[in-house]
Amino acid sequence: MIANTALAGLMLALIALLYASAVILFKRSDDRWVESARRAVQSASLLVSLALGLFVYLLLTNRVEFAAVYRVTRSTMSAVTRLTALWGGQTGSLLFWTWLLGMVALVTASVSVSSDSRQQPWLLFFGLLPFAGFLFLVLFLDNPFSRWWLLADGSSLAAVFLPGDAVTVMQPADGIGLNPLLRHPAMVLHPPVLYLGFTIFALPFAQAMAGLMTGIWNRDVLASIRRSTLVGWFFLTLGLILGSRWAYDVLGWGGYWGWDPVEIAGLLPWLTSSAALHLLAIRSRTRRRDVLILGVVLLTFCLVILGSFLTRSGILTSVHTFADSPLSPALLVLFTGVSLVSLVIWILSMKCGEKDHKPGSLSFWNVILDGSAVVLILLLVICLVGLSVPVVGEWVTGRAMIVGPAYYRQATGPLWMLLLVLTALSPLFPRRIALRYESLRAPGIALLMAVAVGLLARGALALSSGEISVVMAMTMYLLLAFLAVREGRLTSPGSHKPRVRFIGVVLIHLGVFFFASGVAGMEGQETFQATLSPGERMTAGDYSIRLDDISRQPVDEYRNVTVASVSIYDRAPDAIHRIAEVYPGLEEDLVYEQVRALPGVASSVSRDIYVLFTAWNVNGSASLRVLVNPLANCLWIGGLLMAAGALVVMIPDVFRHRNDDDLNTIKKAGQTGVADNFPGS
Amino acid sequence: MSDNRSFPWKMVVGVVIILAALGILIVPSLQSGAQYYVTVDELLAEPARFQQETVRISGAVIGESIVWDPETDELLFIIASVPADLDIVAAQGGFQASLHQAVTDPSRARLTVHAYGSPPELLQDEVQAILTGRLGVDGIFQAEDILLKCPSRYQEEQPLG
Amino acid sequence: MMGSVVITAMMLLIAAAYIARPFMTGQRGENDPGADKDGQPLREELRRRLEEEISRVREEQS
Repeated sequence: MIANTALAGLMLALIALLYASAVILFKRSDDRWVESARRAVQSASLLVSLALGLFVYLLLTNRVEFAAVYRVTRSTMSAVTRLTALWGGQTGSLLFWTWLLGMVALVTASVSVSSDSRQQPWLLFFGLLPFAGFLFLVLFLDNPFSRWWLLADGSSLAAVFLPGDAVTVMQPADGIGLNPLLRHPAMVLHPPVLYLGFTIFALPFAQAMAGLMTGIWNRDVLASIRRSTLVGWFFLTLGLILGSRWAYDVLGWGGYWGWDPVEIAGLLPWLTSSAALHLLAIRSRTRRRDVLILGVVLLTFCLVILGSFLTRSGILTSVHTFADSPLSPALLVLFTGVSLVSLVIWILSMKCGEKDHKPGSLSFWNVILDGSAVVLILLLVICLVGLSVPVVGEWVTGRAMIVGPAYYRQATGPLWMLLLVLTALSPLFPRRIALRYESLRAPGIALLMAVAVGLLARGALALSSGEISVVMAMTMYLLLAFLAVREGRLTSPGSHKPRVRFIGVVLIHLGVFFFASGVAGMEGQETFQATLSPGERMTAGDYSIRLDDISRQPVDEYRNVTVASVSIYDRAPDAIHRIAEVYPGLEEDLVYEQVRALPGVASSVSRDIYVLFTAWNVNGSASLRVLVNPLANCLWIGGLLMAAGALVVMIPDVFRHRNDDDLNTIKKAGQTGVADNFPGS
Repeated sequence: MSDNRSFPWKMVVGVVIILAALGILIVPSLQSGAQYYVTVDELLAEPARFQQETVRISGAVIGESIVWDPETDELLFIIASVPADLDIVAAQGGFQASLHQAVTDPSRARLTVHAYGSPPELLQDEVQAILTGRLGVDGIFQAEDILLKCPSRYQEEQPLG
Repeated sequence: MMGSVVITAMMLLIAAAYIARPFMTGQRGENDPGADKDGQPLREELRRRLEEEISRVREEQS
């Protein structure tokens, strides 16, 4: 009964969405029809929520006769783990993704995300479009409510409705449980946060499309696009950091980013949304630039769908991929469709944009911001080239080929460094830098101080040159930001209210520098390997590692874990000062027939000592691999700072009074006066 | 300054710079980073060539051949040739069946692989291994990188009633 | 089986009623985000002109 109800709900939702799109295409001039369409979208979102709720219920009650439930749960799992199994498999995660898009559609239908009512029909339309597309996929190509049927010949089949020669619904003894690699705290959060990041970009997509269709993209529209893009960016940044952390902890090679195609697919929208945010930070002088920005926003969501295709289709070899999915052609069609529609509408808008009457003067601020956006787009192009090599390369050279991490590191390295330099200089806005002593003095002093700090750091802390550069850039940035505060650029003209947004932006960039220092530090990663019997020691750089004990315990009927107790000491001659005790383990999953290594990590800001228990040998000795990861935690600190900074930037929006009153508009115009280039004033 | 109808020099210069930058970054990186896929059969057919070239090779791991020396941290295992063409794989019954056939068929070409480091957790029988490296003069493939594709069997697996 | 038919019928009816409501009352919904309080077309036209004027003044000032 549950399955049938849920299926009916999904079907009704799709019909409602089709109704709404037909209404908007043909009857949008009539308010009553538009209102009806709005309600249809709301109904669809709620119906899909119902279906999701029912699916979660199936997960919680271990209803393994449903194939999607069977593939990710088993009786020994706790309720919390079952919830996370929602995104542990192909089918459940697609339903979850679709539900999220439904929530975005609900927002476009219920909340005024645009101050202009003429946008409303198109906002609705482009909000429901991705939702409807994925709902179609869920219903017809990867249905979560398909069951195992026992056929007359004894074999089984998964299908939604009764196959011709089926005898009955099969009831498997138990499910197979969650893939061992997914059992990690970061995995609890990484997919939903990442999915939130991706799907929220459907909102600025709808807003941008609505703007382009109506020809209206005034300041308010762009401001609301900036806000929704920032929210998506926040979750995407957090999701990418969590994914990195998961890879670091679980995949056992002590690395955090492998330039895996699926990782890159997640990075692409991050690059374009960062570019969009930089471009949206200052008001354009020309409509043409605005259309360009809207194009970047559209591109972001198209890349989200592309990423969905790349991840689920298995077209690129990757550790992540769900193999051999029937979704591939459909997702490709969806991506092509959305991209084509976006491209056509965007090109038409570019043509209709006014010609410049005033060529923009090259203010320093413009160069920095637009330059950063350009660099980010270049990074995007490089990644896209790398991703397309397997497809294009084979077509051109006739041989199957692929690019490894070496390509990405070599091609993107210089651009990341350029981005750091631009970031360091960014607080120099909105000055018009002229080659005069007065305007160059303060930045010049900041530069000298940064160099001094760099030399000091090199002498005192023996950092690598990569780390030194990051330290210098960060110092420069902080000094220039401090300058900006002192010159009064931190407060609004005429008031003493601190520019909360500026503080948020500083936090974000500080996070960038921390992250960069983590990257620089990890370049100096060292690996040590030895086989020890209990009581023996090995040397790992500045540390002495001692194997204390090994013990084996069953976890449940499906899993055993063997744990090694390891002590870490300073490598002094007598080495009695114990720094930490860690417990790396080897977990055996009897169903998946996999063994996975659980690292034991001793963390501090300056380095991680990462101990892997790689093998338990027959003679009772343990093989250990020890990695010393300098500044590893700066990666996570940096990422969290970036996310926190984004939250701070969002604060003024939360307290903003949305006011359509004409009087207030006039008041604001009078107060702010001269071209006010701060974000979102 | 420029008006609407004069040649947009600034834009052209900008575009040229950007294209040049892209070219400088991408082309050399492609040359050093691109790796060609070969099958075991192709590799063994031209041993001299593949001693010079780093390639990516795919094969089915033969579980019982996995040997690891903890003292020297050296790993040895044998892979069996799998077809590169996805149509052939489909005709054989899918990835899982294809890997199984490769391992159990004694007439398939086999390659010994050598690498440093302990066996990855996924290194098991009938798993697809994608290796990056070169053929050594001794006929043993020196792998710099081992990628193991998660067995998709749990997707295809039929439940027991 | 009957249960799911009943529930489906209920969902259908409720959704249809909700969606068709604007045609029955002839009014826009209260929580409609696009609605202005009264006399929309004229007010929006005025607002738009005012905004254009403000932008123009700002351009001249900068």
